[in-house]
Amino acid sequence: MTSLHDRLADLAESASQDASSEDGDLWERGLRYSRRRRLETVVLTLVILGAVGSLVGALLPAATYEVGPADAQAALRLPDRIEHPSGWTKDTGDVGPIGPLVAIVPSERKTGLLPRSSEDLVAVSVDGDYAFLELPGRSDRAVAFVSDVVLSPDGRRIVYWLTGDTSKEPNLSAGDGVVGVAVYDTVTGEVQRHEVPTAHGLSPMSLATVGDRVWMEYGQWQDGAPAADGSSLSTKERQYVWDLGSGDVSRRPESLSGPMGATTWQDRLVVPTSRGAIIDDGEPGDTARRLRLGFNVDGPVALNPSGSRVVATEDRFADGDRSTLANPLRHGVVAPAGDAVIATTEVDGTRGEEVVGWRDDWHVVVREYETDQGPALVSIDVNTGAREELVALPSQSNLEAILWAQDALQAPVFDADSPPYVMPPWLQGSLLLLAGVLSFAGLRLWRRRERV
Amino acid sequence: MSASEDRAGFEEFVLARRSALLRTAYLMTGSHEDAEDLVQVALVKAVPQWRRIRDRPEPYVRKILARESVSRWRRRRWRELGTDEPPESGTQDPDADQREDLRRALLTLAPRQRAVVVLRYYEDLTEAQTAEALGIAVGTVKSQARDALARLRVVVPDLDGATVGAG
Repeated sequence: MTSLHDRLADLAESASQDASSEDGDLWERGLRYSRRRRLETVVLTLVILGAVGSLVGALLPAATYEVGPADAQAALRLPDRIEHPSGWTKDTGDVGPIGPLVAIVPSERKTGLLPRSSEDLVAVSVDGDYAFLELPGRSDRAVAFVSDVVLSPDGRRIVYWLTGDTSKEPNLSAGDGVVGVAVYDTVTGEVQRHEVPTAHGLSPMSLATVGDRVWMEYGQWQDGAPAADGSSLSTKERQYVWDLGSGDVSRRPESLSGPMGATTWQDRLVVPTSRGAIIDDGEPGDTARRLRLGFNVDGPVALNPSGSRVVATEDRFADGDRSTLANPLRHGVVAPAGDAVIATTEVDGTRGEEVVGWRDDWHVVVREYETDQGPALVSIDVNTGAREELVALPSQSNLEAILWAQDALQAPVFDADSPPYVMPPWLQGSLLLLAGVLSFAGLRLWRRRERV
Repeated sequence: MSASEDRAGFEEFVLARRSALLRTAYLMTGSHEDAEDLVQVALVKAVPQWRRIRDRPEPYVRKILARESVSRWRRRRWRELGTDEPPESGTQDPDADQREDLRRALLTLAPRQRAVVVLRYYEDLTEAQTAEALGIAVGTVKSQARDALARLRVVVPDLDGATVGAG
């Protein structure tokens, strides 16, 4: 009986034993193979290093997108574009204050492992950095407020409604229970609070700030829960001025309108009325100047830097066509003091532009929804109607909700970078894991090639 | 030792062991041409490591031979190519018929099983040595050997009586 070994040996004996003609150059072929293999190893190593490097390189900017730090001395600059940043952009709670702001933009924010989207506010710094605003005590639902947040002309302060505990059941008609107003310093991150004793919370109306003053307009809710029809009773909204230096709060005369839709001029508010504007200096008593423009005003009214000229959008139909709005810009000379009736002139070629402020004494800055490049802030020469695009704005946005530091409109424009792509944490983790797996696989492959 | 001495040592090894390597390769491939090719590849791949292995080159060369026979199949599907080959011996010689039956039976095995059979039952390597040569676990060697033998006994019934002589 033969063993399997014998049967295999018998079969193996039938193998051809002819010497191959190629046996003679085996050594040279081996050396060539060795060189090729070394080259392949180097290339493979470089490819793996390149792949891992690229991956890390791609991840690093997103993972390490750093904002700030805040520079108190930073001069205002106007970025030539504002965009919606990634929903995963960090907030000022993570990165700290980012310095004087140019603008505040409502933008979609994403949070959580199973991403949840919500509308939030993004701050844009003078360097063109972006960070979501983390304002202590601001209601998550504060977007429901009529005038939720305002930005000071110098970009140094954000004023917002403060939420907190009321002495009785809070009225949630306008978000969480509002108990006062807070001021966030964009350079130091410090928050100054003005709390008002309230039973059911404040009924917020409007806010404004310029210089060291904050204008606040609010009433007091009369009850805790809305009535069956959803309505709530509030006391009449009254207007107050809070002096940030002294901490004093004084009530404004009834004769003055609330600061809703106000622009700023020097340390005064320019509050639009139906056919003109009130220039309110915030001093005790009614020392405000009243400008009568002689036409129905649509939107803000703005005074140029020297205070010599006023501009506003006239609310009127096109001639002979009551279905189309003409809404031209009108401007006129303002007397140095006192109340005045202003004779205004229409700015050539304007129609429906929304006033934001002044760039200098002769150029008004407006929002335009349809330029060649999409929505933009545009500077218009009030004498000639000549236009210059200043800042490209994100499309599909509520442009009216973008807040501008008024002084920034007069600052030099710079070529801003787009906000970087910030990837979700789960994707970041997955890609890092992939980089690790690739490195490990590469190492294994390399070692295996070395072995045999 | 100089490069020329290395080369002389290598060529001396080739001269002395080429036939033995060819026999092993033939069992692994079932084809003279493929066996020749396999041995040449194994020897060429041994050259870069020659300084390290020159005192005892054969285990390393057999390791390359065994692994190459498996990995080549993955690339070339030798099993299909091999079974397409015509019989290599006449049909009148009973010994030749037996050899051909065994050759064909080996070609029905998966390449790794074939390598396990050749290393275990022709080269008489232990399970641990076979596992090391193929870069697999000892348990895998055991299961591959068991399955391979069962398959061979089915395809070559007269092998049933043959004893399995590996240590």
